[in-house]
Amino acid sequence: MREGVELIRNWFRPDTLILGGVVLVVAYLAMTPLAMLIYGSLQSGFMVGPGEFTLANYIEAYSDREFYSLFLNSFIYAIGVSIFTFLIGTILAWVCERTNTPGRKLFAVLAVAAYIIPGVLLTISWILLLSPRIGLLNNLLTTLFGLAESPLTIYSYWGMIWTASVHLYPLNFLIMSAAFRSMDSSLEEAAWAAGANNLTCLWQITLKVLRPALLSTILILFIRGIESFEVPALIGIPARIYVFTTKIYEAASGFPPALGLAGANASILLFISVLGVFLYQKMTAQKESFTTITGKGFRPRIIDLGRGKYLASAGCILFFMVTLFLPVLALLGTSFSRHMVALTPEAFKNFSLEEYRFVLSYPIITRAFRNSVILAAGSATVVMFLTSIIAWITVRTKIPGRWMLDALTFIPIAIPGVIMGVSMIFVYLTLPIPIYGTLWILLVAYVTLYLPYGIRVASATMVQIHKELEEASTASGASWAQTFFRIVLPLLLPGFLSGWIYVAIISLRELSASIFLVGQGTEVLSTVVFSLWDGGSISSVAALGVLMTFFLIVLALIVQRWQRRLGILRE
Amino acid sequence: MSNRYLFTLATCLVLLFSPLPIFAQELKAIEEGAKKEGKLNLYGSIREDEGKAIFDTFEKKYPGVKLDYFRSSEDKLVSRILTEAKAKTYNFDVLITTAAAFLKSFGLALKWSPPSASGIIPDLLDPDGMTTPVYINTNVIQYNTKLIAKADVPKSYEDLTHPKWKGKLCAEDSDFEWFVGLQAFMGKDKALDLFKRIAANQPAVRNGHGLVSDLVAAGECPIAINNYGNQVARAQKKGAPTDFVAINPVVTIVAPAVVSKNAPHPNAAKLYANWITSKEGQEFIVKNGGRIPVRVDVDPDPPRLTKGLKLHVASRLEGKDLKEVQALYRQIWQGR
Repeated sequence: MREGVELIRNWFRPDTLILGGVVLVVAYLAMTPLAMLIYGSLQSGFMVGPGEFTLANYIEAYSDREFYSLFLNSFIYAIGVSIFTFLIGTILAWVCERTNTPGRKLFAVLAVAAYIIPGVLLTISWILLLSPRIGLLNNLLTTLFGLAESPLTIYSYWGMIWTASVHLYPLNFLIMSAAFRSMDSSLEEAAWAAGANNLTCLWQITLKVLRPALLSTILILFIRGIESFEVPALIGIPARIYVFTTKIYEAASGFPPALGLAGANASILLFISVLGVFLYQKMTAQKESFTTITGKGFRPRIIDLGRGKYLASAGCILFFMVTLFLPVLALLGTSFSRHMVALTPEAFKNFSLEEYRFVLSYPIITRAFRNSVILAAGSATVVMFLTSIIAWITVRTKIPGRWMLDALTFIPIAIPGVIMGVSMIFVYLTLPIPIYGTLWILLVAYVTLYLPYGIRVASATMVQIHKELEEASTASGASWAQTFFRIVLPLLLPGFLSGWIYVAIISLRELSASIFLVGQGTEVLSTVVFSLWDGGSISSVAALGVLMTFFLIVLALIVQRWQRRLGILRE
Repeated sequence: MSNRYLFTLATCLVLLFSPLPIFAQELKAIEEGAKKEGKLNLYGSIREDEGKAIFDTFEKKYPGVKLDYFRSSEDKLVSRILTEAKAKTYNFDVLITTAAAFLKSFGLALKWSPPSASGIIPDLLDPDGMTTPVYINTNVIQYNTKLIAKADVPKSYEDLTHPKWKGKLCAEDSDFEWFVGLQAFMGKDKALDLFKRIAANQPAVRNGHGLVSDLVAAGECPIAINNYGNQVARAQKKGAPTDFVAINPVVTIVAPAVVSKNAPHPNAAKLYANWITSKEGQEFIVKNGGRIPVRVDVDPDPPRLTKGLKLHVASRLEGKDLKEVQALYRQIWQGR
């Protein structure tokens, strides 16, 4: 309490200025996009003509014939994605964490690897695999089973749900792995003692014990589904399945740009997403009342699957072949031809490296690469710096109203990337801050989007550091700033670094906000891929995709080695 | 007397020969100005791989002017330029895309016509003199030559209504001029009825003519109800198994260059607009991009892209008309 009072009392000390500045920056980042989105959606003719207060955008959005089908489509898609992703991730996590399946350590690494490939690339490679006529997987199946027609099509709800799920499941895998690892297995042991077999035990005990975690995970996956952009844009539009994100994209980027209408639709999506996050918070808060993750230090028993373990192993291998190996293979195959082809042996007669030559010599691509790296490093640094200070305030001090600061930092988790993109246009076309069309606007968007991820890591790390070290520093006469930068930050470093890496990786993949904000000279890799695909340069997309995947894998390997050396715990 | 005679002769001579030197002077000034500016921001819709060779040639011809390209589809480009104007960031110098003429009504286009415009087919020219045609897109049926037998190649739009094409057709999601053009030729009711019967075959609707062309070439979509002739020609050049059928009268769209009123590099902008519409520039976009040229003295490759065809230049739709057509187009092709 004393520190807090002191901080307030000494407004002009540099410490207070730093703290106050950070609070203001975070409040600005979190609040302006939302405020301007609502303001913009209530304006007539935001882009063209005089701006007046109006409800016309909302009326247009609600009275659109499509509005109700949008609702329905978005929900079917998001529910499908959440359930399917949940099944894949949970089964894999169970196999890797709780059974004696051979190769489970490797599977656990592979399950996270899918997260590294950017969504836009994975979606394109699934289009190459599952297109009705030229899809590699379809052709394989028709030849293998002598079918007359292609059995699968990507242009359907199933195609969309599958593609989104095989991209999203690592998130669920990580959450469920942690849950399986740290759960109290005494209830399970009791069931085994009472003669239950593995399956009964899993169904009756394990899943019931974990139910609160399961429900909240499904909810967060649902939010991810309803916010997702890549799959609805690349697969949903040709399949005539429109969801909120694609509607917003169409309204804002079509001609004439209907930003007000995009804003009205975004408000509705935002409402759904905020509601979801609110429920999620409530659920996870409640979870603690019947927590099974206690301080009792033992590892849950590993279940012997008997012969079934080979079956599980084979299943995992098949799964990773299909979801990791085949997509990369499809990209690789396409990158060697001059135009889009069905990937048959015949296609390789025209083997060419021309696309690689083009991709490597095209200045926009090299520039996009540079921009992506700058933005990833920049946003990761700013996010971790801001959230470290916020975490210090919320964990260490007793400043009144600090819960609000925590809440502010967490707000952006409910903002889908598409909405962030539209909001940023509103903000910087209205306020006299001339950053539209520069890399700064992208940096601001990324920082805002990823604050919630940073704060989670930073708070968790801050809690672990004992206060006495800081007190020792202060007792020796150091100022707050000295203490923070020389004692707290170095102690935070391992957590800070893993948070940094995480934010950098998700920034490198960002598409849905960037697509509204990039301009000439500020292209990023994901938007270049999107633009090349849009223009029909599919072989170039494939060549670029192969290079990007290669780059990201190398990066991930370096990070992994480095982390091990620094002894950072992987979350 | 003889003095007066000489004077008249001199005046005649000056009048006769002056346009050339004045043009040459203007060009020289533009070229020098462009070199001082050192940069050109070009917005356009041609594919990156197609554009690269064109831009390299321009940079080689005018050393000192660095060309920077930004590609997107036509609507998105105009939309972006409006957004930039609203933000008061004036970035683009020249816009070359089919929707470029929209900028006129927003007061963002410079009234300027390059000297080389004198060689352009007069029918294609903008009466206001604010946009300069660079290439044209013809609306044709595209098909995959491996998947469609010679006998099955559609000879009319009516042929596409046959149920055997169910699930085998695709369309681009913004071919509004073609859509309106056919309504004008056939009568609105008859055309809409035809479209509805074709739509019963459930065409896949995609965004981007290059993408549609690639999908046809790959065999993903055996027939595109409508695509641009030049896209087909380009795919053919890359060895793709595809061809087109043009049905008279062919709805033709002009893709003009518009020089920005607020161009950060006005001379470089003019220099590019002039070069790309010159004989040399036009020959280059034919050779390299399979584009259909706009000059009287340059032929398309293959010539049958325009030879013997009745080209009908479509007018651009704007405002309320555009909105209505967009809604109807989506309703018919995308069922929404």
